Amino acid sequence: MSNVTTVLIVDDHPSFRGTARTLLESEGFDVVGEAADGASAIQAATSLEPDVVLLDVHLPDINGFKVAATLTRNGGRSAVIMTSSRDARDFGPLVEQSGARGFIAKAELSGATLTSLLQ
Amino acid sequence: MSPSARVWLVVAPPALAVGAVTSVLTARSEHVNLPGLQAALGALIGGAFVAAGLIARTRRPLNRTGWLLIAVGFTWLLGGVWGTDQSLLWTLGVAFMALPAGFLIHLLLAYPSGRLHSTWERLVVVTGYVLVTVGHGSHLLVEPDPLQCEECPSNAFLVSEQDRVADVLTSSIQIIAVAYLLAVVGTLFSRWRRASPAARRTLTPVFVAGGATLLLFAVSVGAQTFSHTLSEVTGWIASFVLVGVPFLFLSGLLKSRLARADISRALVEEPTGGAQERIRQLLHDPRAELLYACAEPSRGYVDVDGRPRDAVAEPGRAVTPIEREGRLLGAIVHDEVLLDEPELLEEVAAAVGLEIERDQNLQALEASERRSRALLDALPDRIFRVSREGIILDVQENPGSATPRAGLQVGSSVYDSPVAREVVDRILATGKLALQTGELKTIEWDVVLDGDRRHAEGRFVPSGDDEFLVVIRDVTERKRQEVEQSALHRVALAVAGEIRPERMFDLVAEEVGSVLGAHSVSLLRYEPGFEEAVVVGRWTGDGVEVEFAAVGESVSLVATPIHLVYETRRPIRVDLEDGKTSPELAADLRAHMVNSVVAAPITVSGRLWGVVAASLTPPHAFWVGAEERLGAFTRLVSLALANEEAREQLSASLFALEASERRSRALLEASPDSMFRISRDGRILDYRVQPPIRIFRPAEGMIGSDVYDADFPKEITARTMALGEQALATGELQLHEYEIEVEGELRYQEERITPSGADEFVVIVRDVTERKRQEQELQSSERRSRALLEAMPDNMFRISADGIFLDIQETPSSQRPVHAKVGSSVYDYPGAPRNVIDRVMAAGKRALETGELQTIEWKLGSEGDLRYQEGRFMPSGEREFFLVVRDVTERKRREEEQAALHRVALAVAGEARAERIFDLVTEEVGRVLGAHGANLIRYEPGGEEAVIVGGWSEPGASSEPVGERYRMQGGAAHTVYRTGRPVRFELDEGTVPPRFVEQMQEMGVNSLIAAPITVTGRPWGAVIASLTAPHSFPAGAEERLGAFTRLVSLALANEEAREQLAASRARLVSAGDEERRRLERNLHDGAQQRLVSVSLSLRLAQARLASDPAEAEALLAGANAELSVALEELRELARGIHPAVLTERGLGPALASLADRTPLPVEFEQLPDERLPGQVEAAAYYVVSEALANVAKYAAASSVSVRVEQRNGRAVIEVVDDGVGGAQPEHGSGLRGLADRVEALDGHLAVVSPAGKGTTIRAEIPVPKSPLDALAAYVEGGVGSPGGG
Repeated sequence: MSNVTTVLIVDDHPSFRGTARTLLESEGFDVVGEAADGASAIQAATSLEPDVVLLDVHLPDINGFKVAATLTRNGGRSAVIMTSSRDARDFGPLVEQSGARGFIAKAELSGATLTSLLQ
Repeated sequence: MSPSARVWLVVAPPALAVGAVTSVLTARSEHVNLPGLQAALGALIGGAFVAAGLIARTRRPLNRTGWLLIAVGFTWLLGGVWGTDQSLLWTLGVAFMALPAGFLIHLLLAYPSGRLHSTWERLVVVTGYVLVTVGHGSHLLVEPDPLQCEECPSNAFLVSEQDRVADVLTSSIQIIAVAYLLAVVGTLFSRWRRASPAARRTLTPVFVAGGATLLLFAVSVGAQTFSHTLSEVTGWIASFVLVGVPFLFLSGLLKSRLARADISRALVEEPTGGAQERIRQLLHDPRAELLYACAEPSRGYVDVDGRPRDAVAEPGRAVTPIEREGRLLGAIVHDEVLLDEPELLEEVAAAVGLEIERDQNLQALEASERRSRALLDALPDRIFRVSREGIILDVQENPGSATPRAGLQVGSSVYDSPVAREVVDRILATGKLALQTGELKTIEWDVVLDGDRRHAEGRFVPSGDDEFLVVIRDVTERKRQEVEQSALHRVALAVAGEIRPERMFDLVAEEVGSVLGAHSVSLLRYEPGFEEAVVVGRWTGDGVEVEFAAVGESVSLVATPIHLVYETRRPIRVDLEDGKTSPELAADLRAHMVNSVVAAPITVSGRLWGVVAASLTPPHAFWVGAEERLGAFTRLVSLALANEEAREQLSASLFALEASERRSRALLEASPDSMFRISRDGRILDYRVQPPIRIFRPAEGMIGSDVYDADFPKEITARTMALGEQALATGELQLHEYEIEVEGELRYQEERITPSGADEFVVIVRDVTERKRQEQELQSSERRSRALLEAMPDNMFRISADGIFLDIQETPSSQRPVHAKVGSSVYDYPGAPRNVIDRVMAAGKRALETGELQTIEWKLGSEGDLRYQEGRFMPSGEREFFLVVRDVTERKRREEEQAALHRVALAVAGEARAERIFDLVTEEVGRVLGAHGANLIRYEPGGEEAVIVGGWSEPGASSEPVGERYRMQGGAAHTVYRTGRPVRFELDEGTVPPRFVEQMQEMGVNSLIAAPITVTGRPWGAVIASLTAPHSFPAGAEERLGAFTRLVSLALANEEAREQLAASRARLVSAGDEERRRLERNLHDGAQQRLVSVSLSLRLAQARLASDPAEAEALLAGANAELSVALEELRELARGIHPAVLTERGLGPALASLADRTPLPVEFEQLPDERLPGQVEAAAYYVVSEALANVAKYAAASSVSVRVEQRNGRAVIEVVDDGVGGAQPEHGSGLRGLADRVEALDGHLAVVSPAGKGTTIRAEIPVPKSPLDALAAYVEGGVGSPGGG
């Protein structure tokens, strides 16, 4: 395993994907791919096998939690971190039940918060 | 053996025996002159007295004259033993020789009653007995030859022979005896002189013969000392005269002349014992009984206590019928010996008959009046059938109606009637109301007919689609009676409370005033002579000024209404304007400012005491009959005064008791009748005129004048003379009745003509006007009753208290014929259940007890022919009542139907669930229409099938289960579906479609009715009711069913409206939810995302600020741009929630900003000048907003116009485009949501969008007034109220 953590960003808003890539790369993460919906997210995650999938809850096609469940069900190697512009309390136990590693509110996204969830 | 027969047995045989013995002794005597003649004469005299005595005893059992006659005869026969030659017997005979004289004197003085009347008479009689026993016997002790006869046997009682003493004694006794006999004769003469002419006729022959005998005996006794021959001769003459005396007694006794005087006296005195007691006194028969004949001859007699009696005589009793003019009134049961005195019986029967007839007439009149009243109460007066337009279609006048006829003909308009126009308007309006509602309506109104205010009650019932019946009843009497009865009641209470007359006079005046609606009322008492009267009571209405004397003042009666009362003795009425008033009377009325007067007499104990007079000022007049009503009050006054008088009389009665004998003598002379004694050749021999006979004003010198010279109609006199001739010829009483005008008044008089001598007769004249009037009133009253009876629509019965039909009146048109006969018992009435009859009799008895109308209802018949009847009960006599039976089946059905409809309506109004109403309706329909089963069905789409949604059936009857679906196949439900109208199928009448006949037969249904249930104009379902064979629904039942189905329709419409409302509310709620979700999403997807980006960019810039300032600057610039976009998106979002421009600036600018964002030209045709209420502005904004959005999306229009205006309290919003049209409001949530929003404000949204012709969206929303506006309107006097919102 290399020292650099690979990340797949899944969000239907391009402006967020762009800002998040800039932010994470500036903090030493390797953003290996981006996806705008659930289906392409699953495909990208399967083929890219990133260390982390930063997954938005609201996706135009499939609910983010279902995507997370699919990615984690067969013992996939990617850790899924859910994100949303909403507060974590709006989702409660849904995050844990979906098999995701954790949740980060979009406004609090940083390399440090991401690293702390992965440890 | 009767008492009289026993007397004969006791007296006659000893008398015969004694007579025979003494006759033989006398005939064989050696010392008697003419022994044969003496013996015969002695036996004749003694026998005659005994025989006459026995006859008198038998005929007059209570009169002692008979006993006295027997005593005279018996002692006379006993005295005959002096004829013997045996010393002791002879001496005994001589000693008692004078005894008959003592009895004879007693007999004469006590004649004819057998009783002595005064102390003097008793003294004379006792003296006589002392003289004939002690006086006569004493000289036997000293006189050896008391009869101065030498052949006579020796005196056995001789104590000592002392000639001197004997001579002195004999002479003294003779002188005393003569003086005594003269005194007796004098007493007789004095009695004769004091006797009335009638009594003298009886007394004269007896007194003359008896007196002469006594005189002769006096001469005979007086002459003994100086002339033996004279003594002998006068003794013989006296003896011969004496033979005839008993027969004179007998004939006088039996002539009954004095019995007649007793009858007159009894009639005058009117003792309190009642008629039967008087009959007992008059007949001297203490067991005599008076029986009254019942009105129906078959019902026999009742006694004075009202118990039924057979007029069959027991042994020893006899019956004499009481008849008048061929009519049986009653009977007298008496001792059969009285049959020997037919004259007496006839007189008593005639006198009692007159009395009974008077009483019966009064009773019959009262009974008849009661019946009439009962009938009037039970009768509708008049019936009109009237068209909706007010044309009379039919008139049924009641001939017995109290009101004058309205004079309306068939074909005339109700406006031609005499009632006021506004009343006619009310009548027509009520008739139309009855037509509209189908219910009975009742109104009352006043009508003035011929100046007489009447009160009418009208009952309106529909009789067709465009006509109604008005049943008009005159309730004037009822209203007046109510007022009058309570007034009479108050006065009667006061009278019963023994109020003082002064107080009562004022009370009566006041009550009369209020009952008659008078302005002034006075009570006056006549002064002796009837020239003046004193005011004793007075009442004047509030604010009325009438000039009349005050209480205590005296008024002159010349030419006044009060004098008229004196003249007529009847209630009178004087109206200034009727043209019948004499000028003097009119002047009197004008002087007192009076227009109308009624007055009635007050009579106390048969005397005119005073008058009650009521008056009205111009222009008012009393109603017809007011004067008769006044009579009821004056009778109460009379009663009170009689009470007062009676109290006074009670204290005076002790004194009266002492003078009673004197009074009865005087009464004998003051017989109530006027009498004339007229000779056969027409001379008035004697007369006596008593009021009220006023024909022959007694003139000087009338005695001896010719009857034809009297001031009297000659033809009546001629008839009297002819009847007098007949009376003389036959010896029988003749009756003569005629009418005669006396001082302008028609009066009836009755003459009874009876012979009073060989060539003279007596005419007894009585005024019978009162009786005749009663008879006539009775006749006219009965005629009225009869007319009423015949005009009655109901069956009527007169029933006795013990349940016998006394009279039956059957109406030809009656729906229930009468199955009873007069005389049968109500308990035998065929087909009537026992409990109904028991209730009928109980109600009848209640009516008899309370005297009030009783009403009950009962059911008769069986299922299918069940009828309701109403019975009204009124007393029609003491022990009988009147029953009017009316068939009220229709009314009853209507009532039940109304109640059932009411229950259903209540359930509908109470928002009961439809399923509950369905079952209720079928049950009520079934019961009201008497159906065997009823179903409520709902049509399935397409109208081929129906589902049963409610059902009811009689217990035990089969029924279809609720929820079952079936094909209608041309049945009743199908017909209703097609026609939308009620239908009726009758198997018997062939009204069933052929293919449905078999089905009905299979179900056993004979009669079927159905009516539609319609919801918002579309057929929804039907109610079907059925009857099994052989029953059929009554006519019109299907229409009545319609009343129920209309209620079901209403309930369903309510239900549907409720459902729509609920759906609309649900849609509004979900639309709101959806809107909020959309907002949340928009915020999340838009502004929130951008702010997140800005936040991240700022953090990145911060981190690069030191290491890479150029990039940090680029990041900050990007964040700034992102922030501007986010702000714009937030503004847009807020505008979507509620446009701020609408809140701040109103509808116009808000719509303008909408137009700015619309991609095609928008034209505003009209916009409101003022701000509308917030919710209305919002609704209008969204209507336009949605419409413009739709136009932009779908319409492919080139232009669109918008109009918002306020009109008639409503905001009208219209958006019209010229696009492709074809918009479908049902599809698409946008328009539906708009409609919900508009309807939530009680508004209405319409979309008209024909294909190719553009689309018009139009909303109308009520604009509620603001509280301030409402207040302003209120202050300015406009409609509405401050709370009206």
